[in-house]
Amino acid sequence: MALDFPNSPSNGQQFISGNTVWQWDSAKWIAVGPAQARPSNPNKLLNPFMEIDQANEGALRTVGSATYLIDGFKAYYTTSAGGVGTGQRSASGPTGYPNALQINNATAASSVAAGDYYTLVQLIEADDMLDALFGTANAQPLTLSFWAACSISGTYYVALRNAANTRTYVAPFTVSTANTWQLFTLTIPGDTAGSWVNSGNAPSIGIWWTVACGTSNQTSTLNQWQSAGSLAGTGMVNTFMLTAGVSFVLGPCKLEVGSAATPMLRQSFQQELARCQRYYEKSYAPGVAVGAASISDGNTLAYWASGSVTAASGGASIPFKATKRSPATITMYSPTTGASGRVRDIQTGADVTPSVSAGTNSFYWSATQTTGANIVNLQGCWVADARL
Amino acid sequence: MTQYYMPPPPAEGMPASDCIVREDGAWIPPDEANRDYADYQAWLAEGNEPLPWPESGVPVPAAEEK
Repeated sequence: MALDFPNSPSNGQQFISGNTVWQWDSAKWIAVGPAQARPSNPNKLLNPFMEIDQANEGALRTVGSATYLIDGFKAYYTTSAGGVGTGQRSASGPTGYPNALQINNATAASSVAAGDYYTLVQLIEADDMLDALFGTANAQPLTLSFWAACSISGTYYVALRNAANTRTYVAPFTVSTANTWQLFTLTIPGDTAGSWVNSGNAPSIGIWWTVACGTSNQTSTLNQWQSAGSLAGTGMVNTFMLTAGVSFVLGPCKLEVGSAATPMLRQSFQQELARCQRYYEKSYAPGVAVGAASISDGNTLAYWASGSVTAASGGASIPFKATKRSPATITMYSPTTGASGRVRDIQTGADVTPSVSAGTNSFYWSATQTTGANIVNLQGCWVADARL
Repeated sequence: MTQYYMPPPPAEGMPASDCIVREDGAWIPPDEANRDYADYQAWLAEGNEPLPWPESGVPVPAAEEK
């Protein structure tokens, strides 16, 4: 197999192919030794291989405002012109990767107003961006790598934006061939200005992939930091939002501190799930949808033989698998009917409403039987939501 | 528009919850970093007020929204 050496190399330039390092000596390429393993910087993005989808388990969602489609990634579809966006985890990632995140324009908008947009975003918690030192003289460069494909070729935009939407860096990327995976890489200089949250559990930075955008969020200032909240470039062609049945797919991606892209290394499923559980955790097993009738795996139980014939109460304290970013919103589900906001009084065969208190490490719940029974058997499934 | 409720009385012997209850049955803790609580604060700022827990029964959950 022929090696694809760079054209017009400079003397001493090196080229790595497979496990061999080649060097140009002004006349020819010489093998100078084995390639050393390249270090890989930590990936700032959560669920970068799009594998974890605790809330939806691959189900199609209609995109509204801040609709989480998979763990870590949410979408916004803003229109008053009749368009409908949908999205879901896709099983058609680029070669070697099992998953991607797909958004669709299910129904075409008749127009794109100034304030409209269709965008995917991941917000990153400030403690995870501490080493970027944004907003200081020591701000570090970031490198963003991502795979993407779209059923409409054209120019789209990715923006890095602070949480207050007062600093943004907008860069175009061009899908040259429809329905073909492309790897995009860009290095962004550290932002030495502006107001950035660099520590704590609040959002620090958002990575926004925008497929349609009205003029209010467009800018003519590209590839540099500016004091604005823009998402896309001036004159963005919004065919995507105006066409029914089109799709954009975001594949594996990586955001790292540094001025060069390093390999995207996939963690184990369990490691990535544990990262995701800082923001969202469910009692249901992986692969089981929230709200499913699932009485056998993961539900919480309060059980004892009371010997009483008056309605008794029971409850439990549930420790989380991962400390949450903030005190979590808790939703309980009947394991029998799947009704939200309910637990099941198994003994009397009725759903009842629990009382809940929530923290970052655990929550506790309690409920009262509908009628007296000599056995108390209250069960519930649950979701803890501390997403950004 | 989303509706919020004050929490029901706790079970006997349990402390009262400090959460607010959304119409879909989600219990939202009073923490500024919780995005659901931020939504609730914005809802209050529009002049809305949570309803007391209905004596006749609990609210019927709305369509599931995760």
